[in-house]
Amino acid sequence: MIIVTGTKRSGTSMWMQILAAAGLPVIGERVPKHWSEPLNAANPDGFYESELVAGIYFRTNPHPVSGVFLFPDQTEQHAVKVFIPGLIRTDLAYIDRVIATVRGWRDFARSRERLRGLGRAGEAAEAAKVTPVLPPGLEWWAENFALIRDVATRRYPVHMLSYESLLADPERIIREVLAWLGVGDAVKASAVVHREGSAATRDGAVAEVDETGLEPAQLLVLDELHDHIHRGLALSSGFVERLNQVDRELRPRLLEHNAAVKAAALLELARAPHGG
Amino acid sequence: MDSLGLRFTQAGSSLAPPDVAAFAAVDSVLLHEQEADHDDRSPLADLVAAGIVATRIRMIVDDEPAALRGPVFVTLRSTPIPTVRLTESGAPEVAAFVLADRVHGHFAWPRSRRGSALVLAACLPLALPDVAQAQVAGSAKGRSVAVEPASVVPPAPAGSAKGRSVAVEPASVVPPAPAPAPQPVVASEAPVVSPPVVGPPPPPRIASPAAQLETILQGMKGREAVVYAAGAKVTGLIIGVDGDFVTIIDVERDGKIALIPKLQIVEVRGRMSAQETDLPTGTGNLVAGGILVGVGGPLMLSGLVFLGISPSYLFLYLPQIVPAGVMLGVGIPNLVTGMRKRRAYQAASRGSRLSERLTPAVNRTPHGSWTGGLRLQF
Repeated sequence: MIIVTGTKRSGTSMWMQILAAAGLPVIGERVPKHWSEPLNAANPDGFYESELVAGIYFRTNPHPVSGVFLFPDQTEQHAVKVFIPGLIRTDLAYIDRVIATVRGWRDFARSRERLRGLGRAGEAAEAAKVTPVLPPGLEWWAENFALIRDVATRRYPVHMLSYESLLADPERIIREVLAWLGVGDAVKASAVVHREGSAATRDGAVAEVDETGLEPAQLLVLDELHDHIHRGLALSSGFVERLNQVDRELRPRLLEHNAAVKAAALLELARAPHGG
Repeated sequence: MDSLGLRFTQAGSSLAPPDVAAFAAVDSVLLHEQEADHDDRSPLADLVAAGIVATRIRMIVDDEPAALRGPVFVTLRSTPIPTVRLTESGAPEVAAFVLADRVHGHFAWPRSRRGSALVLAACLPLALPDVAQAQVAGSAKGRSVAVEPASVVPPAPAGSAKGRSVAVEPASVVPPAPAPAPQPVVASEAPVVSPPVVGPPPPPRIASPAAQLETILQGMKGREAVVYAAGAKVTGLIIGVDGDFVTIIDVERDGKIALIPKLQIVEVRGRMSAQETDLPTGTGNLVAGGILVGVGGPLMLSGLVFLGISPSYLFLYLPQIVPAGVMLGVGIPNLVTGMRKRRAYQAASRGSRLSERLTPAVNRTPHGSWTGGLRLQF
């Protein structure tokens, strides 16, 4: 499969729209039927999400309800959105090409906050009452670090680029990516990005960014990592060591969050009259 | 009526187009269950699987057990970005996945480190007895006393996917200096990951009995030993010393995997086998004798048969009969000598007396009762 990955609010939906416009077969609905109207407003051109966003692995394929099975060689040209944790879970046989989009963590934080405000048919609001929220900077770090580690570990074909570079020069970026994929109409695909520009501008309208859990030196590394991706630079061994060092520093904070999530879940279970 | 053949000579997939519509996001509960992926060790696993928790929270991640620090949630694994080497052998590093090396892994989970039970035996050897026995047998040949350094095996790269690989920056050793500025490199199509710096391990410092025990156990990993703990004795091949437990293949219990809490270990002794390597095994004599007899026997037999049919052609058959006789004359003594040496070798390694090869065996049945008997070792 041609997997589009990244954190939430990092441009994965836009890349799905691009690939769909380019003529590639897509797995997923433009707008999932069960999503609320306010949420759909966050991406009027569609999300193209499927039940494979959590990965193509034993839990999702064969389909847990219908038993439908997707073979690797059947779906080599199919585009599918898979978030970073899902990519890490995905069986290597299904990873033919990966387009990884990374957004600057501050813009990610603003957009994430905006999405949280919209809610997803009321269910997120209920969950937010009981689930501790990971600060956006830590969420950005945990996922993007895991992505780079997975690329270095399993070494599948990947094209990692920044969300901002796509907005800055969509024709060139799309032409390069489609040439790498070997399929798709670049002219039709580029038309998608021009419509999307206004949404990106909307996300950037909020000035406040939550920097909780991150030291200034760590913030610098986050920015440098995004800059490397944005400019297409290789990660030197020294910089990789800095990334590993930051991850070691942030790990206790992430584990602390995990413990809080678990405690909240157990507390909610104890309160529930029927346990669920 | 179509039937399902159960023998596939090669991999096959459906010729029909994939039913991708079946995976469209129509079931939010399924999505949340997948989002709340978890490790099998999570105490919430059963609840998530039952769909109880997943409907109430959007993400469940598990903390790492303090003593184990194993990977749990996929984005929170504790491993760093691995080193990418330009020259790799291509051989898979399967040793990193040895099941018994993971005390906290898949086959046994200790209920309590303070429990009265000394040994927590897993059922794996019952399903894979050959593996356990093979490890025991294989270990008998290794006799060196060099101590293996304790090391954490990094994730084994599985090679490039489907013959394609990402560009790799030349590996370079960088001194562990504080945060050097990133060097701009010519842009490539994918971000390139270079090896993180791993300094040499510090020299071991034995500061306490626990540290001494740890050093001994690390040195004994992969070797046969006798471990004394809490009044009991376990003999076998040590296959894991990570964490708070020692994992050992108990040769006296049909290769069951035993977990011994390190806190309860009072003594570790190396297990010395007989001096069988000092004796010749007789293999050379047996092979040489076998070949000579195998060739000379048929030659001699056919020569004698033809000579019996037509005795007047004696000189015609002599060039066949004489070499065959020489082969048998040399080969048979070689076989006898080889068998004698082999018997001596086997006697030295296992004990030749029946009393040494016959041992009592007591086992617990799956129904909870006990069985007794004698086991003859060949």
